[in-house]
Formats: sequence, C-alpha cells, structure tokens
Amino acid sequence: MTLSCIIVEDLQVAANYLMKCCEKSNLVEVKGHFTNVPDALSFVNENTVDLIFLDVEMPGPNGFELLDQIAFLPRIILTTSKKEYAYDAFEYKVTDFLKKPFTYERFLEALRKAQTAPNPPGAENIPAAETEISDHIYIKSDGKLIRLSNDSILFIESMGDYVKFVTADKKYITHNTIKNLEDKVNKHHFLKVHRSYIVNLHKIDDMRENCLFISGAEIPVSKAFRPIVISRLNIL
Amino acid sequence: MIEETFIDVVNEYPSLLENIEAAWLAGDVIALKRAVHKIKPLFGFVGLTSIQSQCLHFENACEANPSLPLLTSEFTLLKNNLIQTKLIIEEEKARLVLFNSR
Repeated sequence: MTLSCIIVEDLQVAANYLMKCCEKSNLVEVKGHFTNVPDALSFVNENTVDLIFLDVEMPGPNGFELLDQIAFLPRIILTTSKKEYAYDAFEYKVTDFLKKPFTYERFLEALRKAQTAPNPPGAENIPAAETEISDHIYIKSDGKLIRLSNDSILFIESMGDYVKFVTADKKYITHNTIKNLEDKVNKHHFLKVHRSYIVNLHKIDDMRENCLFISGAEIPVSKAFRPIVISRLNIL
Repeated sequence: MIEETFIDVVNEYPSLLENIEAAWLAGDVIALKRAVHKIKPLFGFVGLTSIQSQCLHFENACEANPSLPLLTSEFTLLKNNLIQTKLIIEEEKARLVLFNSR
C-alpha cells in the first residue's frame, strides 16, 4: 500500500533526507514539503494525505499547533531532535516518533506502523468516555496539553472555530466547537445554556431574567435552554 | 544516501553559520540561541555529536545569561569550533564523493 504524505520540516537537510528515505522505500509518495505550519495547514485543508512527517520546532507555530488546528487528522510521524517531546507525542496519539537523526531502517519501521495503523478518529480533543466520568479534561492550547479540573472552569465560550475556557485566573483558547464539547464535558458539572456558552453549574452566582452571572461575567441564556437551566438549579 | 546527506549539510551550513554570526553582531541573544538551535541537528546527520553537545551547552548558556558580554568567550569558542567543523564535514564529503566515484 502506497501512502501519500507531506513533510513539514524547516531544516532542509532533514527534509531532503526524509524525501530520499521516502523515495527509496517506494511505500510513500511525497505530495509536498513545507517549512512552516501555516503553509502545511493551507495544503492539508484542501488536500487529503494519509501521513504527515512533522517536525515540532519550526519558526512560527510549532508542530503540535498544526495538530491542534488541522480539520482532518491523518497518521502522524513526529520527527524531532528532542526526546522531551515523546510525552506530548504520546498524548497526541501520533503513529510514531522519530528522533533525528534516524536510520533508514528506523524510518521503515515507522512507515510500516503507519501502513498498518488505523486512521485516527478525526481531530477530537477529548474522548467522551473518559470525560463523562472524569473530574478533569485536557485541552490543547499553545502547543501543550493542559489539564483543567472541572472545578476550575467557570464557563466555556464559543469563538467561531475556537472556544475559550475561562477559569478564575486564566483563559485558554483551543480549536474546538461548543457543539463538539457539549457531548463530551462532564454533564454533572456543565450545561449548555446558549449556542455559544457552556457553563459550570457549580459556579453560577446568580440568575437574572435571561442571564447568568459567574464571577462577574454575564452569560446569556437562550429561551430554549432556560427551562433546562431552571430545572438544574437547586431552587428551594 | 550518505554522500547526498553530506552534500546537503555542506550546502546548508554556510547560511546557518551566517545566521549565527548575524545574530551575534546584532546583539540579539534570543535570535542567537535560535540560530544555534537550528544548526544543531545538522551535526547528527554527519555523526558529529560532540559539537552538537557544545551547541546545546551554548543554548543553555544563552538561557542562563542572556547578556552578550557574559557569552563572549563561549561564543568565540563555539564559533571557532563551528568553522573547524565545517572544514571537517567538507573534507569528509570530498572523501565520500571520491570513494563512491571509484
């Protein structure tokens, strides 16, 4: 099986080496080489590829930021000179991790893994089964996976293709949608109250007409969601 | 593939070295650290791990002492070694080309 791939790597030597490995293997067809994340993103948002060889540290956004923003997640082989990224690689469920420089044999091993690996299930940030019962979630922000306890989140606000997780002392922006999060957050804590807002029910200070107030922030409540909100509040 | 990799390294080396020199002359420690970081993986492809370690050491020094005067002696040493290393890689490349042409 021949896989289509792109190489995202700012170091020309490393990119050339990868291209030669790909060519020699006859197992993978290189569709493009990009030296930065925005160019690679533009390409993959318009073209489907089976595999991305992805460097982490590049000028501008890093490789993990590409994974945060990509609409469809193909198989990923990280190529980096730092072992420190192994944990992140694991968290992002990449197919393999090649520490540069690597041998052709090691490259082939990674490629075989990619050939047999199933496609990752889209760019989903949070496994539903875990978050339903978990007291925390992990979000991808600033190229990192950040652990947020349910108790620390005040509310989640939509920002188009992004959402903002608001905590008492910080805001985290991540590539996701309210619609996607709605089914994945812990329903004991969180409730969608508006098409653009999910709130932590335990953090509501007061409710006035069609607005909730959480730590000074005014959250609109849609007419359609109002009965559900009322039913979830412990009104005496 | 080894010969081609050496050729790539020799081709890319001068611009990466120039970036280091330019960052030093500009007095920009952040750019200097970034430029040294960028050249570092090159040495892995040609098996020169000691200069790679020296680059890492210098990056750490930039982090610890982000002031040019404190970095002067270490930079001079690194720069000289980088120039020497360039010659070594060029020699090895020439040897490889010769060997493969026989």
